[in-house]
Amino acid sequence: MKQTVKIRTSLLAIFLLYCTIHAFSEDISFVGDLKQETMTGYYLLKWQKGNQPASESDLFVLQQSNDRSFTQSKNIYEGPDLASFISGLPNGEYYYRVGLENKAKDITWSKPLQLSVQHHSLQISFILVIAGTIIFLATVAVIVIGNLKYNR
Amino acid sequence: MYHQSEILSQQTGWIILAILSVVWIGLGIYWGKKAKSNEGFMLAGRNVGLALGTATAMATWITSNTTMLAPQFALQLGIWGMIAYSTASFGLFLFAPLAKRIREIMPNGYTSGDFIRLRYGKTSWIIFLAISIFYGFTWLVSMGMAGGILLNAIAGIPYQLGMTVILLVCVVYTLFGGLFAVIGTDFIQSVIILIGVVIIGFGVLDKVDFDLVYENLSTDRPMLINALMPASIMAIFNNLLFGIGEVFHSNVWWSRAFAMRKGIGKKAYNLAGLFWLPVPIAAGFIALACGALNINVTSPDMVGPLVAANLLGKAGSIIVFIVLFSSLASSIDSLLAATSDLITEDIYKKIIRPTASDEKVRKMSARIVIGLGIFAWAICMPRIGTLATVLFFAGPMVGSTIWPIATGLFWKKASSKGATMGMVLGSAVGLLAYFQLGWYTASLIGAGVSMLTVILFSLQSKENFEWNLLKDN
Repeated sequence: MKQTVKIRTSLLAIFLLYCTIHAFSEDISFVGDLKQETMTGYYLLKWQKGNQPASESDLFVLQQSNDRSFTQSKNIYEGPDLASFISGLPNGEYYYRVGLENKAKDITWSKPLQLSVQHHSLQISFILVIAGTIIFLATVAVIVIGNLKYNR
Repeated sequence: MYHQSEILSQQTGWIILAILSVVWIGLGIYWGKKAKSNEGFMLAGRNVGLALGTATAMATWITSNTTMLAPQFALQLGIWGMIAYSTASFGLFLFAPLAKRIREIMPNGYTSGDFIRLRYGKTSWIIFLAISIFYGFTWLVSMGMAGGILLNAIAGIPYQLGMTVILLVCVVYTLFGGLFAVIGTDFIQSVIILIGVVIIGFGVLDKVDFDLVYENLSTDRPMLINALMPASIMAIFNNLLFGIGEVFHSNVWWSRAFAMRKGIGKKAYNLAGLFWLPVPIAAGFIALACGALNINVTSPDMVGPLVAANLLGKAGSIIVFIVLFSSLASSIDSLLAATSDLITEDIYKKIIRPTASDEKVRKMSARIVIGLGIFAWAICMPRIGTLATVLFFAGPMVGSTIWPIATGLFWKKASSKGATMGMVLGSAVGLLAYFQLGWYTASLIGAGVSMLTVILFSLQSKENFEWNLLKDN
């Protein structure tokens, strides 16, 4: 009987400890998959702060690097926002991590997000430009010729 | 929504919003007194002159899409993206001769749907109505969303509240005044927009260091100034054709062509295009400065207002707020009026109650304005995407209407089958491109497939359409 009570108490303690850790968790993580691809060179990075709502006093640091270990990185945002839109990236692999700075100025980092940029082929782009020019000029021709015909 | 640091206090935001709302509703009620008949309510008595005609066309085309989407284009697709957006002015330039032709061949017409029904018959008409109402709705939703995003980013007003107020104000004054109120408020709104854009432009030119902007772009966002960025090259003709398709098919533009006095339409649309052309370039350019100014952007459609407001401080933010509210209102009211006309004339009067009296039709038109407002509000509540993704989803359908409209106005041999198949195939293949290649290709491919289909059917056609059939209506 006594042992059952002990087990119950231990389980309750573990449960309460688990709830406490998760309720006040400040783990930072990106929203969505940690491996992303784009053919346009732009992407919206979104992150969240554990189970707690973000506040105006939070200081997030967003870093970009060309290697997974962030040996050479640059800060691309520092502030309370929960997202950052990046654009104009050339072909390549980019790594991002976001951290939350605490009062002692220590930063807890998220797991990195890998963004692969591979733009569309220029060949397809030029084919579409040629197609667009033909459609546009043909439309102009229909209107100009039609207008001349009915305004004589 | 991802937290974005706001510029004005919520209190200031609410005060400006309240003043603007009272002004627009008051003017709507004042102008509404002029609308004695249903024709007055729907087409402003078919007597709109050059100044009002030009102002209403320009103000309607300067939408949230110009002031918010053009900067988004610049931030996503760089210099070419910015230029691509400005090509939408060709929609107005090319519609100018069409406006003249429309007024001549359909002096008693009401809607773009009228034209398709009389020119091509019932099947094409139903497909066209589906496309046109769907497009009108995506435009309305994108602008309701833009209103909510704007008020949230600039003044911290919750998205749902801001969006609700903007839609409500526009529904109320359109309800009271019809096209009279829409055109009257458009005139004032276009003056506010032009003055505001000039002030913002000079403010930005004064405060932005161009060398710093260039340096920042070349190190951090090099593809934005790369002339060979593939997605932006694709976007040029896509946007051009999207703009042309929007203007050619939408009842927003046809209702103005019917409302303008004879001989006015062509000049008014050409002038509106000229006034409109530099606005997206000016609005787009400031987005490129966001990196150099260390402004974090949490949603690409907010970059323009954010940069302008950050650069110009509190006074600038108030100007940006007023300009954007005016540009939103001038388009939402036009869309509510034109879409309601389309549904009233083409569905209620032609299908449901052909014998309905003028008074009943007007009552129904008012109910449709309210219904459209409520429906748009319900869709806007959950923020479903960026402005570009929402609006350009209608791109392939819109692009597929260019050739049926243009050839229908000038070619006697343009056939009903060609128009129907052009719209169906163009929309289907364009949507495939939207998902397979990207939103920046869908209108172009939709327009191209539709063009080929219309030409092929016209070559085989034995039709010889009698233009008087349109006039008699």
